[in-house]
Amino acid sequence: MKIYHQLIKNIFTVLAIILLFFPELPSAQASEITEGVKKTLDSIIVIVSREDLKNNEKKAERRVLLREVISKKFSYYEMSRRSLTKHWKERTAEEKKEFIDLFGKLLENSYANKIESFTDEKIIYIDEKKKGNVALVKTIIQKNNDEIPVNYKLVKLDNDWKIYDFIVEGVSMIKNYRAQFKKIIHKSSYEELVNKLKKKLEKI
Amino acid sequence: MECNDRVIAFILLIQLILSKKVPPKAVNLYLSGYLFMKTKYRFSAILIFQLVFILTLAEKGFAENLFTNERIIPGELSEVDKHKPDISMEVVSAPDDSGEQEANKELEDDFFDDDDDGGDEAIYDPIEPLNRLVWSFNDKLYDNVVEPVAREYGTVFPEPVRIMIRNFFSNLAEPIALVSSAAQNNKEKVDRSLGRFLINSTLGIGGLFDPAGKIFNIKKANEDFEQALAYHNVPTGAYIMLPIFGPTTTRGIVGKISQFFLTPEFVFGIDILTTTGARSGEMVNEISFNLGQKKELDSFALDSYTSVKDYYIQRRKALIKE
Repeated sequence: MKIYHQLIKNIFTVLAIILLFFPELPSAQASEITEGVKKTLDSIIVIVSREDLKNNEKKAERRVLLREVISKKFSYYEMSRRSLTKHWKERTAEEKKEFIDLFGKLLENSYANKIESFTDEKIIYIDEKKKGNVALVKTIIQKNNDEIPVNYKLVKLDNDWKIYDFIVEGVSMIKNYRAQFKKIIHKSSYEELVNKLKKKLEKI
Repeated sequence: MECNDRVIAFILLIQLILSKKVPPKAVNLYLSGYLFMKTKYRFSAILIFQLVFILTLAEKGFAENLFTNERIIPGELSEVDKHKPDISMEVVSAPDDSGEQEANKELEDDFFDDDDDGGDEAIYDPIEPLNRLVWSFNDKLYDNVVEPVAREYGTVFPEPVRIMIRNFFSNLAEPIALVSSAAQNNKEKVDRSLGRFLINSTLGIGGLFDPAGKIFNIKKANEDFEQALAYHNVPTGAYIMLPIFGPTTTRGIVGKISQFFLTPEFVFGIDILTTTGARSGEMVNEISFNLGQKKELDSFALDSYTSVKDYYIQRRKALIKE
């Protein structure tokens, strides 16, 4: 009995010491998602801050580099599906593919456009919440005394967390596009929506 | 009592009457406000009146009448009184894991249901064709007039000066945030607004600087009367695109009107010319901080009217929530 007690005591002591010195152990997994987002944002900032890519002539080159980084972390499939909602089911496989391609380009350019005006703002990672295979990473962008909350919503696909929405100051991008798509499909048709997408992309 | 004061008291009495229900509590408050008016505490009197107005407006009967076609059945006053929020400003104790709940709800909100057609943001828009017309006018006005003016203004006045101007107008709006927070039973925000107003008006030299935020770290409480109404479950009503002023809702208009009684132009009886000048200056100043944004919105929106409408609705929802 005494030996048993001694053993338990030893185990607890060892555990206590481990927990004392490695308190981050339980949360190590939870911050993996934030780390993923941080890595992507950091690489984006590096590209945008590069002096040799700053002027307008280099825009195409810059965009290619940005596209590489962005397309790895954003899930255009999820974004397309969630913004078309019930209309997604009605589409054929080719239509879906076409839409993902077009919408993806639009989003890429929209996001790249926003971050290209990034100068020296600081990004602070506030919090992370996870529920099943959906997660939320909260950040704040600090720009000379203004604080802009930007949240990223991620979904786990094939063991990788991908971004499917970003929410700036409470406004979700996917919800915004959802409202627009719904309106256009309601007023005219899906084909008209695709036309508008194509026309918009030509102008960019 | 001077003539001016009588006029003000009269207008505020009309407000109360317009709210159709004047419960005993409101009457008492009104009387005490009236007495205050006779003294030099005019400002507090007006604050009291505004609180009363918001609370009476928040009663279900009035809201229903304004936003639907239902007729008010004159209910019993005592019953109504029971539903009135307690304005004793006790701290609303939040559950400890409120952050958790809220974040989970955020995730749940997006718990995607294939049949969900995004109905929650679909706001009642009965005059959409007219709204679209006004929007296209606003769009052109902004691109051709307002934005160039704001840009020029931005080059003439350096940023620190523009920040001082922004601080000045923001400080003048603190009493509105105070009353609105009180109507939402949010003691913390009431303290913040009061603190910011007092510190910035004195230490911050008439509101030009923001020592409350920079030195004392008291963050601005972004509240207005529409948010107070929303807190009391007043529905948004119809979406309305106003010329020049931009998007709003029926509830927003009501909020803006009652807010007007707390603005310096009303309280100090400033003439309309000066008011227009000052307020447009405020608008241009604010726009000078966000010059590229509209162009960005235009480049990436397929239907800018819907995009702006959705953006407005989501933004208001976010402000109301906090």
